[in-house]
Amino acid sequence: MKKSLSINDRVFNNLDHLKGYKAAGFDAIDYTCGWGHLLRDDREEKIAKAKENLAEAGIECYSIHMPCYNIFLQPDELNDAKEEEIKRSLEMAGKLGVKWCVMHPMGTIDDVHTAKWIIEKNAENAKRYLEIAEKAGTAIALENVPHFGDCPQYVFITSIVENHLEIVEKVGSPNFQVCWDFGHQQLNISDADKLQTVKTAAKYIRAFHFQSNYGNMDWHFAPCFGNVDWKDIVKTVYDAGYNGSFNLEVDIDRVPVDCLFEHYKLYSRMIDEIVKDAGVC
Amino acid sequence: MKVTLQIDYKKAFDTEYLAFLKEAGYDGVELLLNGELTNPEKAKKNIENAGLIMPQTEIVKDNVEEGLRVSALFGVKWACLQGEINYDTNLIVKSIPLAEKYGVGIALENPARYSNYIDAFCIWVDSFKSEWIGVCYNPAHTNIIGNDDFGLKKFDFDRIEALKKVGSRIKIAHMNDNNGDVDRKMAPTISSTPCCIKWKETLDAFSEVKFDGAFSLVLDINFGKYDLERDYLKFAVNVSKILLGKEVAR
Repeated sequence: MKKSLSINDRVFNNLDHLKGYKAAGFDAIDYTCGWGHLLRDDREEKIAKAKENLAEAGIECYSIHMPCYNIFLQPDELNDAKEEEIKRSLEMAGKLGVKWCVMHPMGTIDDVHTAKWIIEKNAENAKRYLEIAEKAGTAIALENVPHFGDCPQYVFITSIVENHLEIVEKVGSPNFQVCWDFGHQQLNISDADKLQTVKTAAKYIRAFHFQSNYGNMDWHFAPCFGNVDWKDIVKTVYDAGYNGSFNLEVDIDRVPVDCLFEHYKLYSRMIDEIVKDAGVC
Repeated sequence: MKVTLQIDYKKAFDTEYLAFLKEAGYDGVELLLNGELTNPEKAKKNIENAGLIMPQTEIVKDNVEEGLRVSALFGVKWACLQGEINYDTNLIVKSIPLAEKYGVGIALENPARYSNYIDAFCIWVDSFKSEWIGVCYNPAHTNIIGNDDFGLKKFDFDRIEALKKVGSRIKIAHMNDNNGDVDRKMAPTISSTPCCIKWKETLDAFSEVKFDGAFSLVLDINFGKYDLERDYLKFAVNVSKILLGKEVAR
């Protein structure tokens, strides 16, 4: 089983850090790309360098987080600049050999925007992105975004697993599946039976974001902080045949660079414990 | 600054644990003088034998005199009076003669919720007009001030300026991290949200006020996993040392 961590540019473009990351026990990466970089003229050089660094450090870029629209926008509120970023992120993913590009859905259900319309629009957008992804040699996984307790008026479309899977079914491709975020699920106030929800989604899951919180905010903590009960849900995902990387999406953006190696070591150990607990070694 | 870890009194009798702390890189411990304080001579000897220092203690409000007596035996100069004492002025007034009797100053900790304005806390501390009263400064407590239950800003509050205002009153420093919502007592840098403690600026401010005590980690650890908890303790000391600009073995 490959272990990975969601990281951003300050590690991704730094060979020494990649080597430290590898030494800590990680062998894959989930790259949250600096989306602005994708619009720069020197992006091709940067991508080539990143590929070279990853190869030298012996790390696979298993997944990336695609650029996403503001979470509160509806799926017809697109703009050219963001569409271009999305296109370039997929092309970059292909060059880096990325298996899954994680995408947020768009749209919240309200009196004007029905679930049916939002699902249709998301599927329409996804098909367009998938065409680019397949041409580049990669695939897309749609993430669950919760019905947050701190803004209960917004019901994000994939907070309801049936809606989430309906988008996937409408796109109808093995290259368009699901990314499951365990911390998001924990926060979902409209998910009363979390284990059953994971069971429903499990066979579609191709990438995941493991992160934790205390049920009030999307803190992206490491697994031992917060109250995500991982044992049964992780086991459910693996029992359904999951064979991708075990990815922690822990917020390390503000960790001083000198301290990052200590974080890698601790998080690598935490993955070992989760895997052991869930019996999915 | 030396890096220490606050541990329960009973842990002073767990020599394997003390040896582990030394091996992990801790310079010392801060004993939380809770429960029955039996055989303090043995506790002191165990800590010394492990090669650990004890620059300060924490005493509890229900047992101030015994806490100060044992602290004196340990040779510490300052003891933190435990946490949220709700500005219990009468308790402090009664405790000052005891502090003098045992030669151990009492450091009042800035509360996590009650001192919405650090000036009010300083006025309270100064009101005792006693050299035996100082401050145990906890930047993680200050980190919550000005935020709501989601860690989101309710009003402007300059945390670095707050530390500087407390200034030379600071005799003990309790260190941990949170994400601005609740006093979660995490190891430094575990929280990486926009509301986490700005460690560089905070440590610079400690230097500016000429604080020369220990970097005393006070952590909540409840993973229910022995090995992982030990790894976390190693993480905590290593990160603390890196923040202090010290070398860490890899």
